[in-house]
Amino acid sequence: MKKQFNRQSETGGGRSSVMEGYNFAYLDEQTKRMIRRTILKAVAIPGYQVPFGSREMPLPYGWGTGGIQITASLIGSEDILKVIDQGADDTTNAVSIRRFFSRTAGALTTTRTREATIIQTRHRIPETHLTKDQIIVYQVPIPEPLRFIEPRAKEVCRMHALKEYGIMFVKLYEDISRHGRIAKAFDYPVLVNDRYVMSPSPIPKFDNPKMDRMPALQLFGAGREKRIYAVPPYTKVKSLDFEDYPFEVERWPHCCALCGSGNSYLDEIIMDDRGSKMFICSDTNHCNERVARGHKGNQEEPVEKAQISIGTGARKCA
Amino acid sequence: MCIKDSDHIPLLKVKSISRYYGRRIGCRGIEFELWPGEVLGIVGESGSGKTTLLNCISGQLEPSEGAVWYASNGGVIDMCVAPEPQKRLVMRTEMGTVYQNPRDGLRMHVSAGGNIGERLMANGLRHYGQVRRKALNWLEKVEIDSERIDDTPTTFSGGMQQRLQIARNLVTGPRLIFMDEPTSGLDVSVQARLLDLLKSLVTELDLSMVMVTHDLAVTRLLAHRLIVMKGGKAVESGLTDQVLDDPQHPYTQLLVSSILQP
Amino acid sequence: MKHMVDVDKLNKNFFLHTQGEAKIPVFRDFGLELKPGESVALVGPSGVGKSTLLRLLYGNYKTGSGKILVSHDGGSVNLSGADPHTILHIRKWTIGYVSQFLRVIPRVPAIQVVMEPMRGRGASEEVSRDLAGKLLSRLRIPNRLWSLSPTTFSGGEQQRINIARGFIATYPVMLLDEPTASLDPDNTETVVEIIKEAIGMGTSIIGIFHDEDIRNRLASRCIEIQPINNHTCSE
Repeated sequence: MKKQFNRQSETGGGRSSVMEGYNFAYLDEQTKRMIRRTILKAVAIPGYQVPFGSREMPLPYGWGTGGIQITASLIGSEDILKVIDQGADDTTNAVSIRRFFSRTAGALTTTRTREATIIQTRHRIPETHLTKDQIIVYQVPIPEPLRFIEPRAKEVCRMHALKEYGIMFVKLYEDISRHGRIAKAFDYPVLVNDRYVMSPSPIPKFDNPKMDRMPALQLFGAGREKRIYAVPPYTKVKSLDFEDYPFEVERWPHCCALCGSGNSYLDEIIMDDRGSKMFICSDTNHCNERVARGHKGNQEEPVEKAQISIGTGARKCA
Repeated sequence: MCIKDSDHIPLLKVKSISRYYGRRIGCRGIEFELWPGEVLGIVGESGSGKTTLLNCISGQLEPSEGAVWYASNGGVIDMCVAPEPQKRLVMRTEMGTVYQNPRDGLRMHVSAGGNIGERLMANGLRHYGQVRRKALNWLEKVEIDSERIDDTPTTFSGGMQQRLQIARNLVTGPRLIFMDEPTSGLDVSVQARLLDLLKSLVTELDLSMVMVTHDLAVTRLLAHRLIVMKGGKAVESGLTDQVLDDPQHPYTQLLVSSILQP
Repeated sequence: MKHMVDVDKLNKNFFLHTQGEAKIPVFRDFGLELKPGESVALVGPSGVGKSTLLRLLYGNYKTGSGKILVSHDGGSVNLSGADPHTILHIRKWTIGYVSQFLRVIPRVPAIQVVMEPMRGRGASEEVSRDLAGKLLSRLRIPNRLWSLSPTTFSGGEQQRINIARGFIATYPVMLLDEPTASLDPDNTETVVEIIKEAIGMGTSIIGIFHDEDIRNRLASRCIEIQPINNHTCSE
């Protein structure tokens, strides 16, 4: 079965291309052990940010060094890795990280969500439901959800320790009083297991409901900030909101122009200099699979004045 | 005539509080009781240990010796040894602190409404409309135009910032307020307005207050009782008018005779 | 019969530490008894300590030695050495005091100043406001002044605010320090009436009245205070 996976043709393909002079998956075994211990602790305390000795990686900060270290400490020879960046398998970040692991670990890689055992992601959760045999690794730039409201790190630690999250709601209050609604569209704070407020990393709030009671293990790595946190399988994840301003995900009045999907997260693509636009699935694998199954969008007619509406606006899609 | 008041036990019992900074004395052996509805003034010159004492009894600074017994709604607790969560819960529901510098007591980049609402939301209120209504109500009580609810305190005058601090503290209906020089830094007409507001709130809400100030005129108008501090020690204490009109200690006499009369 | 106020062997000296440790003796072994419903006038030359005595009885000045027993809350409390909390309680319920000075927070309306003792006792806003209004009208403070701060009032007006504030609540004992000084004849007459009504309702009074006529109308006996020793009582 493995033969059908992409063995990184650009590097010559297959395990034989593993680079000489590096330990398996780049990090030394002691470091990987340290990171795995950190992960165990993170899983034991859902949503709690565990400090770890983040290493210098051969990529700059902001390119997913936290996520890469988690993946490196978990990946084995039997694992199949998928990496996405903003939902796409073919952007620079995703390609680089896949290549990194195929060269240092000879890892098998895939773009198909269903086949992956480890999915490292930047800014999205795949549309396909994840299963209990999968692990999703998030790349996190700023792990501390309270950072922008309370700059004192010591005070923030105390707030987490004592579960004093009033300040988080002040942020939401400010949003509503200024914009008439909670305007935060990504990195929307969540309460994990009724205990810790957690940053879900900069995923769109559209993806927040997917985190709730997800069968897959969710791990979060922040390399620069040296923090790892986790949401164990089937854990309650609640997006913060007010009783009279409940949490809502964004909806589009149109469907994917390529596959006609009516329930996936859409990216807006500018088509020409006249400003005509097209909306397509952000999850390329989801979109491609649908197209392969024969679904079609109306890609001939770009949407002129598209507006994202909040609420449960119904769409009639293919 | 009903003479019995509800105040049978003191709200606060300060037992021989001392705080040392290395070998220097911040304050030493301070004792007093505060009863419900009472306003206590702590006066003295700069460096006399007033603020150290206030910080010790308001739970912001750990005293080197002594105890602070507070009769909370859930029973008497020693603020010096109470577990942090219990202490902080009491501090954000039953107590409040108004700082000399509004920047210490307000979130300067959060709107007035958000500043007032913070304690409500910290205590579990999860209804925007209710938070908003209470914030508006308190703005009115502290005489800030309701149209300013979405403005940040950075755009407020000094007097308004102090009044916003008061609203932010009183919104959860605390029983005890600590104030550190609440009126210094304000010009006199604004001071008068603040004093008037404080006095009426104290009566209306049956608040107890511990107020640090160097302004004896302010204490005469607001405080029932005074503690005069010098070199970290209480040199004299008693009823405000008695201490000011018949001061016993040489230092108090000097202090009282130094007041400028307009 | 139990005394409302019982002063025994009272001594009071002022020590002026800032003025060369000067010692000014005011009372030595002074005694006084006030029976229920009695009205006593303090007499004596200016500076002899009449106001000082009232202030000692109000707990405003600190007693040197001796006792000031006050009948309070069904018992007897020694004001000298009582803790501040007790003195405040006595001031709230037992001893009223009308001084010559009005000390108020600027900007607080006159009617609020007058209402305060009632509010302090827990009376409602409406009841207190109603009582205060009646007293102010009686004392001829025009309606338009009620909402203004008394700091801007004339001496006579301030004095009447002070009287209204003193008499809005009923106390078993009232201390009056020249309540009618700086008042015109009409208002003086009203104040005398108010004091008489209080006496009629059982209030005992210790007062300083410079006007002999008023003193004769209000006081049932006089206590002459003499410089230092030999305080004697005379009718």
